[in-house]
Amino acid sequence: MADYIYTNVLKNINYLKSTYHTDICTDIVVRDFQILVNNFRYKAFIIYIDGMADSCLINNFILTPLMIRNKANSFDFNLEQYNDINKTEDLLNYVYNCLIPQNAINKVQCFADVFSSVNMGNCVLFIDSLDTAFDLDVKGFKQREITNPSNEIVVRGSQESFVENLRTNTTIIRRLINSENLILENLTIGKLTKTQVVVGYISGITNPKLVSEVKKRINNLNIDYLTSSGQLEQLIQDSPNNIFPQTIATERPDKTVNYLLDGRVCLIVNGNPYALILPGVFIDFLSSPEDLNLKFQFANLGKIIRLLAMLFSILLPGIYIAITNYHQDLIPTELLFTIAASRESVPFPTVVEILLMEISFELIREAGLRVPTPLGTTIGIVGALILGDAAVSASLVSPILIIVVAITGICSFSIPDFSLNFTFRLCRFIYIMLGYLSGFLGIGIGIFIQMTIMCGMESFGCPYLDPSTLNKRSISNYFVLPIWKREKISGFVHPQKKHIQGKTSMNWRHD
Amino acid sequence: MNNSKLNNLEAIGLLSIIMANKVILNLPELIISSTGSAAWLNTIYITVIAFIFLSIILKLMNHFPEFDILDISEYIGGSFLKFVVGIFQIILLFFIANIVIRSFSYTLKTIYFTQSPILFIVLFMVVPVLIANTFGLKSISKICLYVVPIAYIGLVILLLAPVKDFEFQRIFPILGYGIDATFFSGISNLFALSGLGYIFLLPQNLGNNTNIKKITTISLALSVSALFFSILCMLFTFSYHVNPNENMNLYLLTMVVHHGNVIHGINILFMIIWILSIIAYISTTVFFILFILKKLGRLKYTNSLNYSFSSLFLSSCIVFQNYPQFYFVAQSFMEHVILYFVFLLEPLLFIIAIIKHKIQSSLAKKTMT
Repeated sequence: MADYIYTNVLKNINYLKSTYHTDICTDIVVRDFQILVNNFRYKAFIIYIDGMADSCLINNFILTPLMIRNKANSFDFNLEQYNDINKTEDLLNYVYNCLIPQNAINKVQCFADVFSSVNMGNCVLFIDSLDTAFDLDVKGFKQREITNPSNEIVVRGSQESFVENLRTNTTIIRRLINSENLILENLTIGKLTKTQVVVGYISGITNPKLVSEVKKRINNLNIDYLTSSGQLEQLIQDSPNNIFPQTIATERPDKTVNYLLDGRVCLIVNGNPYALILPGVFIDFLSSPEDLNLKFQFANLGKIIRLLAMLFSILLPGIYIAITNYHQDLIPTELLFTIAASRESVPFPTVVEILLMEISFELIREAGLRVPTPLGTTIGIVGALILGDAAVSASLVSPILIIVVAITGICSFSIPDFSLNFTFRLCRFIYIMLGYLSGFLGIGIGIFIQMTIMCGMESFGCPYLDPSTLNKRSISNYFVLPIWKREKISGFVHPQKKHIQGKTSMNWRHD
Repeated sequence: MNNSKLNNLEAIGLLSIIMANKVILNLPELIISSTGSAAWLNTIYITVIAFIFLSIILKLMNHFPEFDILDISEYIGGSFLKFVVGIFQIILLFFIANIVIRSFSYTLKTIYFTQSPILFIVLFMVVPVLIANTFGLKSISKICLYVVPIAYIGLVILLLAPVKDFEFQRIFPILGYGIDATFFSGISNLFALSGLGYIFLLPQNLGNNTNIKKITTISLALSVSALFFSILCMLFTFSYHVNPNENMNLYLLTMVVHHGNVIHGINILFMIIWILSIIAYISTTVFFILFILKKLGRLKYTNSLNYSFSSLFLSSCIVFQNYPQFYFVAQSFMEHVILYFVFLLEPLLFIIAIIKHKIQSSLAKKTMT
């Protein structure tokens, strides 16, 4: 395999044609032609991928200047071919400076760069006698328009979401942070896919050790392919076997920007509409992007509700089993009679009953996700109403259990983070078993073990669950302070500067 | 970016859990049974002694800020003394953890799991301890930071709930069983604060040793206030002649908590909080056992020892055939041994070390001159 570009254009054509299998790959276009420079004629060709490059750009700004508007340099057959080494440098500079009216142009000398550029949608120009090719940015492939976020919906915030195109995503971030200190570094992952990944951070705020740790982990990935940010997340997190999410995945540029301003690092993978923010600590996963747009009283109400929802979604079925099997004295007598009466005709023990319902609920949820959108609602209604009602009528489960499972399900939908939701779904089954085995003792033990695991975790060196490192004046906290008091950057990331804004943000009040 | 040393808040949480867990177990009842209605006076008395003791040991430790009790023993008597003190400390800590696990498991069995074998309950207690020690002291101390406020809030609710049933004349006679029982033989109730002994093992686990005074004082203040108010509440609610339950007398207070038809029988909610704090305490104790073993054996990792000790706990907790046998050993023997070790022997070792240091310094000065 050749490393460097040949000076003979025919060799280059043959090599590229064979490498790209142009006899079977019809979308690879190799267009050869001749150019005139200082009365000399040279063989040249361009190579690009049909559909990825913009044909109009190629025609108007590459082929036209090289072939048609270049008439002034008329060819004289009496002159010799232009092959002197000093003159080749003149040729290179002349073509670069005078013949290609392009703003994004690079000189490349090795074939690896040629392949990389062509695969990304660029067009590469080869000229006979030159050992350098011109990499011309003429990307023009179809891509999804910027749309509303589909999974992180807010009322008062921005309605833009990331798309699959890397450059569009970096542009959105650049538009939101109008600062020269915003650094967006390009890295490549995957020997085969050569996926572009952007590492974003704000110089002067983000801890340089954190940035180098992120880059170290990415640069030391020995993988052939990377197709999504979800794969990257699993490859770089501290505890890959742990079920708790350690990096925040978001489709919202405004959320990404908020975290960048809080001293975090973001990763954007080409071809994926989700940015990864790291490090992610537990409380970040319970925060909604809406929190920062609302008055702090409303935001805190939302946070309290989400914390309650978190507790219910993990513990409620387990607590129900514990109470009905071991601690009946906790229930008011009237309710106890109601529960006993409702269970009278049910032949199964409570644990079977609750597992039956929980598994059914998970099936409905999974089915709702897989079927087309209009049918998803129908599946939900059919599952929730008809199946639930039928199960009660058939005495398979008690009515009170339907209420428990329904509340648990609703609470689990209140968890803003998709990955954390999965974690809690898994934990719920563990708590059901613990509650069944030893009532509240088991649940207490479960809480202790879960907290131990969470307290022992780290995300890029930052403690995952540590109340002593949380800064109440930053955005990462259990409760949100008013915006004029949110002047600090989270301390656990050890930022370069501690304040993101001045102590007195509303100067007009002090005039 | 993170380190394994404790910050101030984590250290306070850890020490508070260590010292306050006895309140949850049977300590208020023990003090009340030995001093009668003067239990509150006795608590103030032992609190004063504890603070004096704390200031003395902090002054002693100031001479060797980075040294724990094992380093001090090594300094005095070389590896031999270090080994002896270390083993003795391990045995004591092992017994303390055993007492706590066994008595708490026994209480749970009596109240909730009458049909279950004690092994089943002990197993449930040992597994989280094993997991917690896999993650280390930092993780345990962070849990303490969450558990301590919850436990204290629970305690406040518990102590305020039976206010309507308080009989304030129950603190009479003021001197209870007499001056002797309150102030002389009652000094043995200092056992309640034997958690102070953990301070001797703390220096090398602290991020900043200069704050040890603040950390220990706050922890002790929190613990004695919990003890004092629990005793006061018990005294006001129940007659001191009544010895209703040798285990977890605070549990009795939970039975009093009720409001209308809805809130009643919520004792189990308090029990969850206590389960968390007791396991956090046992995890800490096991950590220090492993810490001593690590120092004695100059070991790098203690994971395999953690598994071994957890198995040992499981088997040793069921050695005693019945609870009275166990209770006799725990109360009559271990309490006094622990008391003498923590309040006499360990400070004595520090005093000897200081004397040795001074003699060595003066000898060195003489040689120089």
